[in-house]
Amino acid sequence: MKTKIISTLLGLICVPVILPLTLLVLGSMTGAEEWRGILAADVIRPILLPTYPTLAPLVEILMDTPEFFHMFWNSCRIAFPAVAGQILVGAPAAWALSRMRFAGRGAVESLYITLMLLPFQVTMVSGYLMLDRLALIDTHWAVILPGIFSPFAVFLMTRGFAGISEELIEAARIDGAGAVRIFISVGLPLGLPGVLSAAVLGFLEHWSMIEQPMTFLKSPGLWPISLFTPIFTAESAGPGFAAALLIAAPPLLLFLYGQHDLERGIAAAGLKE
Amino acid sequence: MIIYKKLIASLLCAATLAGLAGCGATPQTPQESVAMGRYIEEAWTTPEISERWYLSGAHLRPDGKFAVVAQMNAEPYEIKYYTTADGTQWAEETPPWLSTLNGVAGYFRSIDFNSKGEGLVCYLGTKLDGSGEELDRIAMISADGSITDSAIGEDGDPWDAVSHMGSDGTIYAEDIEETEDATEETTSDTAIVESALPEEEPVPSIMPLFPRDVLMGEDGMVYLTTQFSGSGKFDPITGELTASYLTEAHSFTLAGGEAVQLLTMGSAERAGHTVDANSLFFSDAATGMLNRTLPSENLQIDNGAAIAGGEDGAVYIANKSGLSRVAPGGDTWEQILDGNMCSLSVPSMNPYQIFPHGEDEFLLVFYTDQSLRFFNYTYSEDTPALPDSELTVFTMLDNRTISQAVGAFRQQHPNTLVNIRTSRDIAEAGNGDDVRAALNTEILAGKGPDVFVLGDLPLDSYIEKGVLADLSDVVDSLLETDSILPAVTEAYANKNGIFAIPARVNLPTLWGDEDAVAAVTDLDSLLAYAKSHPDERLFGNMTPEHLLYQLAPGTLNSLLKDGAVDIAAVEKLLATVMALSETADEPHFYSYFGTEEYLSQIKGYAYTFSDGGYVAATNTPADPEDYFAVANNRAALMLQFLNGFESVMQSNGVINKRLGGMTWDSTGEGDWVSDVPDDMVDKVFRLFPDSGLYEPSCVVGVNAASTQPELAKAFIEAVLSVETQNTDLGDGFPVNREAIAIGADAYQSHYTSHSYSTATEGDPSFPADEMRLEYAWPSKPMLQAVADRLSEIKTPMMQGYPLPIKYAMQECLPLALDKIINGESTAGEAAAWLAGELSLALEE
Amino acid sequence: MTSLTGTALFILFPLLDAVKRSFFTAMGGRFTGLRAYAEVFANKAFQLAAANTARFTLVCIPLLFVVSLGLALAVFAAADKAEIVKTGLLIPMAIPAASMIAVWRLLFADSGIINGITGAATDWFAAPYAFPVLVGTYLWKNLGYNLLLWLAGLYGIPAARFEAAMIDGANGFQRLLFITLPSLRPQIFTIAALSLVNSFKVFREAYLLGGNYPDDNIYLLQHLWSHWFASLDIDLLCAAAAVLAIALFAAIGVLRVTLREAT
Repeated sequence: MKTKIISTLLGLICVPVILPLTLLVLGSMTGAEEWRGILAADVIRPILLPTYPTLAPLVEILMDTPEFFHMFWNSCRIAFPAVAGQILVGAPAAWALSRMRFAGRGAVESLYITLMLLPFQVTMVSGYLMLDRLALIDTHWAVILPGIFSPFAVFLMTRGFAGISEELIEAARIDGAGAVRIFISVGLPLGLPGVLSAAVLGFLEHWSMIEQPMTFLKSPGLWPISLFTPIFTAESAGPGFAAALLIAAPPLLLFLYGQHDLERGIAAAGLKE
Repeated sequence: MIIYKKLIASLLCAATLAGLAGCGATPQTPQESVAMGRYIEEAWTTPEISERWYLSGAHLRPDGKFAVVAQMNAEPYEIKYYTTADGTQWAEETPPWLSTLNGVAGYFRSIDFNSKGEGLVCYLGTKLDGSGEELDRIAMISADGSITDSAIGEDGDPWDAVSHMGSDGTIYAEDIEETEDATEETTSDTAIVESALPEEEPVPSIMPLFPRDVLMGEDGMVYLTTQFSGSGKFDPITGELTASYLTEAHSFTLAGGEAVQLLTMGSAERAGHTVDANSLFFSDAATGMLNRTLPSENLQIDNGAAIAGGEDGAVYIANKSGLSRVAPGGDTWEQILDGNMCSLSVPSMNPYQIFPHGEDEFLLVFYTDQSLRFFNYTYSEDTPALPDSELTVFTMLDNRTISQAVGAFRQQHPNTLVNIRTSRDIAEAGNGDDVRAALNTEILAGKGPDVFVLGDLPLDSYIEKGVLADLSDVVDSLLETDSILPAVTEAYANKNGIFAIPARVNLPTLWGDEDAVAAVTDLDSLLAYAKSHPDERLFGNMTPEHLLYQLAPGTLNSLLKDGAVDIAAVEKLLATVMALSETADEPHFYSYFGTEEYLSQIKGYAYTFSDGGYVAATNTPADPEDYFAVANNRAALMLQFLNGFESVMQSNGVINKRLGGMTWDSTGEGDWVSDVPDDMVDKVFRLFPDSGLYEPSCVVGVNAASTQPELAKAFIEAVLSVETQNTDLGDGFPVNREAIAIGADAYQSHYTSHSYSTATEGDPSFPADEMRLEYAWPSKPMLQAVADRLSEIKTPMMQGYPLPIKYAMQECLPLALDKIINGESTAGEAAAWLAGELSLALEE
Repeated sequence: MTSLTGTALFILFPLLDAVKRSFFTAMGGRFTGLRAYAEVFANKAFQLAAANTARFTLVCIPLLFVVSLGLALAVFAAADKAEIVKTGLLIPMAIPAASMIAVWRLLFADSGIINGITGAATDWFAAPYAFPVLVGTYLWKNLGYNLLLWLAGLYGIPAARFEAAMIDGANGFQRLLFITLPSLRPQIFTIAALSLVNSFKVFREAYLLGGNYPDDNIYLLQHLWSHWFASLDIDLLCAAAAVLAIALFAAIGVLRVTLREAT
């Protein structure tokens, strides 16, 4: 009984949280005619339920806007390698960081956090110089490469690895496993929630990145979808919403996809005691 | 639950990937030419013709020579014929058909030959024997040079009699009921069937009005494109319309058995498809049935485009971005010549016709300066595809003067490619902030473009931080020869040097009644005049919003003092605006301009001040209410930003109407003129509110970190040269003295009228005779008066304004005024509010 | 090991470059010493932005803590029935800010949906609403993820402890205070750090909705960064960043010590 009340309350809380998303979905199903009416009214009505739901805006984006797909594909080209790189490069670093017991380890971690909070403009200029010297400007690598070395991913994974108990590692060492082996068979599986979090959040970040592509990518043919900015008039509102929805789709799906694994991983780690 | 989620996720992923794969079929954007070798541009001469003659009817002859027709634009409208083999020398020819034509033609339109030597000529006149009415006619020229009438051109527009086309290309006339195709979906083409009614006689075809383009087919057929009626294939013997093509298209050519048309404006519907502008339509030449379309979104058709079919069936298009080619049956564009490397990208050059000839050669006919010019392009394999050096010019928005300067620059430096980057190259939907951040990153990294056009860029910061190079040496040499106005060299100069120069200048001017103009020299005197002449109406539109819009730009310099907002000055501006608006009982003189209908039309216009980059947005739209009021003697004054000699026409026309209206000048041919009496020209306008104030436009500077400073400075010189400055592109007066002199002395035959005839039915305050403004080119004394003012300018608008302050002021001034109008604040409080809003930006 | 150095290099190098720039003029010409630092501290815009950012952080993070912890406890108690809640709350984080901008405008515009419901024509981006609206956006975005993290911690607490406590006669509240919270301590630091990072990310919404110069209450440090960058005041930017870095480093250190984190 108590659980019922609680879950109802929770359900209610959910409503204002989900409302903006539903508006997005509804908006993308509203045709241009209706949008004109909506925007011209004195006050925009609360529920944007379209009287004539239509897939036309979605179709317009999918069919009539070839550059949308091109940019979408570019985003994929940037985000997936970047995330893969982040894991490949960051995981060992995070593992090392979490296992090391040197005095300044806490300080190093704090440094990482501080770095995450600094203005990106500061690092962009030197980043530009470096990438220019490597002749990577105006290629996708200009965006992928710096992303691979992101402190955010390392931080998350370090935290994830930190929770693994020493005894397990000791046990593995006694069994004769080398450092790398320990990492692969003990660290990774148990630290998986951390790695997954880093992957999912890293994907989101690269998917919605704006400043870096704009500065480092000169040819419009290389632009990712985050640079796709629809203008909102009555005619283009529907497709604009549809575009926004499509842009939000991959990270959303990834979050949903990964959520359960994440939780299971966490639960499994919790049973370790 | 989980499984469902995963399933949905995977499905959507798969769908996305499928969609991505599907998009591979869409046409691609023009690709850069990768081959070695490049087309070299060679300017051809034009035949020497006297005044009152003009060139038209350029065409390629079957013997390989290139020919052009020259015609008089006055009695006796004689036609001459010139040919050339290589563009260096022209010979006048008199083929047998010319004299016959000269006897009957009142006006020559166009001419074309096919490879067999058969040709046609289109003209306005009687039949060749002198009979018949004066109509648009087509006469056929046979290989031996004799000329005969064609049956095309009697009475009856063939398109009138046509109702639709059947699915096999046959043409149906109106009165025939179409049975089979009527119920069919419009996915099948509609075709025109020969009318079964008047059997043996061919459908009478009338010469369509305003033929635009004619083509002599290899099959002896005449391909005619008209302005309004359509495009079709005619049999010259019978005069029948045998195939009909896309009506709305403006250009036509034949390639590989297909009729190719270019749609440049609007949209067209054909065979159930609606296609938007900038597309090529391919129809079967024999039947007129639509085969396919090729969207060409990235083509910029601003100054028109010319298309032509090559012998191999490829289609060539010449437009602002260059010369491109579509392979026969292909669906992609290939750019074979970059517009930036030839005259195609120059704004004043309009590609008119293109003739592929010889071996990989093209002759382009441009329409420029009210005349034709010819350029031949030959492919040179040994020349590298890209020139050795490249100069980068950055401008936030397309800038016509800069594009024009590329042409002048290329004369001196033919081996340098000028790459013009705009904000569109950085971000699609212009968020200026992001663009500026990206640009600044480059600058701070020591890179960046070679040349800047400093509109919408933090000019004062660039000067302060030493981003811009010192242009003193360039300026010194220009001043030595007194080539440019000295004032513009001082605009962005400090003790360390001269860092930027406005290449164009706009003048804020006040026009109207001579007493009023004499008395009103600034805001204070404006208010005093209003008070002392309570019965006289000052402006046509006296709403506070409009007054602020007009008066603010001129006062901006005084609103900022010592890095802080001068509250007193702001208060004075707002108070003056309010006081002035209260002196009129009715804010609008012509009530139409207060109606929803009119206001919704101009709703989209932004309240912006020019920032030196492009055409001034200030005072746009020029509110016609003021003009009409002053022209009809209802109000005393109006304000206009003059952005070139052509823009003087408008105010000149207004004053002219006020002083009596257009007169007929019977010297020479005779023409309507709208002159202001010579002794009045100086009295009817002034620079307002400060006699030395001007609005800078097209401000250019050189990057101090540029690796090619010499080239960059040479580009600046090109921008300031008379070749570039002498074109009136609507983005400001020239600053080059010679260009100013030429401009003030020029004459263009212009007649324009401006009216609101449909808008004001039943509006007693806007009678028919008042709602019409007509004007012609201003008199030389008038233009000279404007030129004199030009040489008196001293201070640029918004001097010393940091960019964020400019935007903030733009945004907050109207808001401050609103507060006063709503009664929320007094002028003083509103001014203080404004200062508060801007304080943060000033603090930074 | 190598990856550690690689990461460090890619991150430290730009940082050092930035610090270097704070001691020179913007275009790298002359050495100016500590002048930039002096200017930064004296700059009123900086003072305002720093105060606002601090205020925002000090309000948001504890608020987020409390709310998400409360929700987590509720979800924990409701167990299976609350599956959908977890997903629902997680969604806001997954949507890029740019996608939401149109919806926010519809909601908060002068003639927007919210004003339509309340009937008043409130300007949501002006004082005094701007700050709460921004805090609300932050909560909306981050509740879900924090929820998951708390839950992870809660699931990790062995049931044995609770049983032992109940045997000892502890009631719900005491269990919360003495068992749950201390067991969650490892999580707290992670969550705090992440919440801090995310609080800085809220700038995107603030910028998209409030423009360059929003209401004084929500004028944050990032606004200042982008303006200084736009006017090429890179020396000020770097000096301020260095100051911020030191302040944050110290703050995080304090937090560590308070939570008695293992080094």
